[in-house]
Amino acid sequence: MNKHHLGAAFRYSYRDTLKSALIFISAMIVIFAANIIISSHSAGNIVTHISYFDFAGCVMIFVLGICSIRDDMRLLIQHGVGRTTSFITNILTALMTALLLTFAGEIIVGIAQLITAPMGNIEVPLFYQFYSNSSGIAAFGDYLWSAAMTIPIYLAVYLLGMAISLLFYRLPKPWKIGVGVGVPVLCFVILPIAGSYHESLLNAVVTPMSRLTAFCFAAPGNMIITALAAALICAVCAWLLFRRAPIK
Amino acid sequence: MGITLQHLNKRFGDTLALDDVSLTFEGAKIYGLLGNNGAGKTTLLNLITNRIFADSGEILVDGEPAADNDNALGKIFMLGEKNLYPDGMKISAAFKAAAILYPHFDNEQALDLARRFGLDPRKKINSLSTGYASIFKLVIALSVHTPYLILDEPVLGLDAQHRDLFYQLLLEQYAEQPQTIIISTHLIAEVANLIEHTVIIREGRILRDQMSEELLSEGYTVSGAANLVDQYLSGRQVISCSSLGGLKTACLAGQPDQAALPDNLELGQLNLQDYFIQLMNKEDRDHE
Repeated sequence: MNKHHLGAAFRYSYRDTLKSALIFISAMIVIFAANIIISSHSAGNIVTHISYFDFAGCVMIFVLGICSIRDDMRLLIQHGVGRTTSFITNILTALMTALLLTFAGEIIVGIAQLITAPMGNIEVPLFYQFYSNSSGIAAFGDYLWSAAMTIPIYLAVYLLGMAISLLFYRLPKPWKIGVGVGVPVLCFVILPIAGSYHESLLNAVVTPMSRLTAFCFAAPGNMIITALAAALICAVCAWLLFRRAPIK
Repeated sequence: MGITLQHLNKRFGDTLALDDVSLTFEGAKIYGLLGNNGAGKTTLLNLITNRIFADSGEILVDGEPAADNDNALGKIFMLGEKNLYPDGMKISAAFKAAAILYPHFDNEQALDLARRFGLDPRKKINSLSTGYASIFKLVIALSVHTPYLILDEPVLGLDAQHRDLFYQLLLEQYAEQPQTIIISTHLIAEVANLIEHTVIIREGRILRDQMSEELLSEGYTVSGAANLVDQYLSGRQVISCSSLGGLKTACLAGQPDQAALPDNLELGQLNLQDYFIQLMNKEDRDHE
């Protein structure tokens, strides 16, 4: 890997992603502004407790992860950038986008909270929503915890999108259909039916998931560790899929 | 200096696409990579640029291994048949991307070439016709100024006027700033005057790797009245014949026997396309 190439590849990749992120942030500002206007006309009647910026951000960054192979990696390889550099560029871009979306999100949610709280409407950050028992407005520390959680979550979601996209990119057509149909059928049809006959089978899947969920929601630190572990697993999978992928 | 391929093997399922290919593309030379469909030309070029990977063997660019090596890969620009640009990307944005990723990319030149070819930089790449998509790639290829330029079917869908302009620009650029240019094409007659060195590939094996002049000196042509040509051909190794009215042209292997040549017959140099066709015909016969 060459620092010059990494710098140039990152400049291209981030500039491209930045545009999408800024459009997303602008759209979210409009939505928040609309919410504030609605709140001001119905003081006390509408209460928002959902941190929809973070959820929308997850969807956005997942889509960016899915698009990464078509949008960035193929172009980088067309322009003489090696696989390692292309991959690291994408991870750095994901990280920078996660930072941008996180801080933009916390600031927007914070400002929205300050404006809407006197009207009886509360905008809350992710941390506050998951871990706070209080129903009042969130404190500054809650925003910091929320940011610390959101960054690894965004990173994990981006890398999940990238890994899924690469998996489908590499699979031959019949396998694409097989996986596309097979996974939902397995999760939502076969497993519940099999579970109704053999409860132990269902428990074998549900119990670890429940434990993981309980672990994540026990403390914000647990959520951060889990998100980082998921990001690492997805990154390893994505790299294994990408490093020898034929560029089609 | 150059791109060196050492014992490259590549298989796609049951098909052996490249069979122990060893080859060197030297610095500052124009190469023609010729072969029938499915001969392994694109596979070879894709291997050089790390778009696919060899099952075995090594590729060196100026002595450095090319595999996942930014320094080596950054010296090469390949214009392939496949469009690797994102959907919806505008031509001007592609120029900007090339300017970021290739330090010697000349944006002014790209815009000037786009104007000369009648290419509107505001258009989206995926909205271009086949011909204009080729023009777009040619404009980038001519503006990128890398030591190695690989052109895989560069004039696909291009009209005669634009093909002529491209060849002219390529030669002008080569004269000003020599670089290694590898042209893979089926339009052999059009590039015959451009290429200095010819590589002929068939069924994944290199059949010929020689200077074009040397290659073409392996044979000659004789043309004139059909009956005179026929007389001259007897006992000689004929590669091919073509007739038009009472005139006949024959391609022969070996060196011309000037003493035995009747006055009314004309001697000529073998052309690359005829040589290629006859070599392929010979290979077909040998395989039967």
